[in-house]
Amino acid sequence: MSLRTPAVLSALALALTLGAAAPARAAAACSDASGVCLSDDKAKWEPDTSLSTKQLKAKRKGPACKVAFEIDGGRGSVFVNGRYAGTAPGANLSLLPGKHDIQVRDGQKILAEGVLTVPKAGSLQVTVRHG
Amino acid sequence: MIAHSIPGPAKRPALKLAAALLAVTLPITTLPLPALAAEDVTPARAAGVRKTVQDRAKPMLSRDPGGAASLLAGEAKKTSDPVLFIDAGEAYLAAGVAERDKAALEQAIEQASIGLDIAAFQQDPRCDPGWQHLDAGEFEREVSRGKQVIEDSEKAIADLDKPVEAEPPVEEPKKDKGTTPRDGRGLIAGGALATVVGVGGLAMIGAGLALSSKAQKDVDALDPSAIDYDAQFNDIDKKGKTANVVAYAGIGVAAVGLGVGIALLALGVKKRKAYRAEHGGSETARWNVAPALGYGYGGLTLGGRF
Repeated sequence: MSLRTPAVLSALALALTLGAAAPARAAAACSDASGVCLSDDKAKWEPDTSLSTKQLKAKRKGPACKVAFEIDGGRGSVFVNGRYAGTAPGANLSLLPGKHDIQVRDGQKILAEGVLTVPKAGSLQVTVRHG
Repeated sequence: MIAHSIPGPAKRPALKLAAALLAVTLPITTLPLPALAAEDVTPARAAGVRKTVQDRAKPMLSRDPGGAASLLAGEAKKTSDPVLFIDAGEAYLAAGVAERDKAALEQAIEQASIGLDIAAFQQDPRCDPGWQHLDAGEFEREVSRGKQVIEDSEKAIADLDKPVEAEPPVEEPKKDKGTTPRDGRGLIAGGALATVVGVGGLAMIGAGLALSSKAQKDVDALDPSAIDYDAQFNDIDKKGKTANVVAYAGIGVAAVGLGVGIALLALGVKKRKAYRAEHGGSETARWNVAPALGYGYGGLTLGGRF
């Protein structure tokens, strides 16, 4: 055993200890009863509601908001106002402020559906619980 | 004065009104309408767009399934057509299987899953009625196709993930050291050669006896009173002795040659029979002895096939 060995072992032990002590990557767990969590208080999620035809056709004005959809524990496609918008993870949409009819589904399984009120500008993270 | 000098419009209000209406109507009818927020998609219109894409991708599928998959996936994303998503899934599956590419197989699952999501959503009351890629009767077929792509892709991935089991060593039949099979042909060839040597020995005997006999005759024919009788006698005696040696040597050669040759031939033929019986051959070794006669010579010929 050379003289350097204890130093190397100590460094390894320190590195391992620090690694273990470092906070784990935050899990994007969503604990809300609706199964949908929003990152911005100005945004609003109304589960199991839908927009009327008139509301759907209503013009939305203002600077768009970047809305990122994440699925907690799986995947899913996002449908906005009756049409396909993208697939999460990685669904980064640009939505005008106002109410939007949303459905997120994985095949036959509906993960979330309701009305999302999008704030003006900025960005919003929508986390949908899978299962 | 000037106002009065301009005739026409002031005096004809009907014409003025008509001109004004025309001026308003023309721009309305000729200028494009402001684009709708989202264009309607009907099954017929979607089928037309889809066919164009499929026709482009079809020839690529066999030679470049990866390229076809990229094309289909790109068009699927543009059109949000569930059928094209599933088509892209099928193409990625083909590419993944052909190239043992796990990433392509995962893409196959993803594309087909999106296709299934859209197909399912388009049957949901929340879907925009003006956004339909399929007729009601087509959903079941496409959903079934999409599920099949996912199932096949998952199976292909599982196969790729399996640890490659070392194939049991194929027991190769032990090859003979030489290229010739062990069917006794060596023994037969050796036997034939020895037999030929033995026959040569017989010839030596014959030749020796003939020379000896001739020498005896020559000796008997000598005139003892001749001056060179002794010299001739010695000469003939020498030839006679040589002939005897040749005959004796021939006896040895013939005995050894024929003995060994016939024994080897017998062994070889026996071995060949056993080999043929084991390997299904039908031919048997043949050898024959035939008389050979001609002008100035006579003898036997030995022929063999082995």
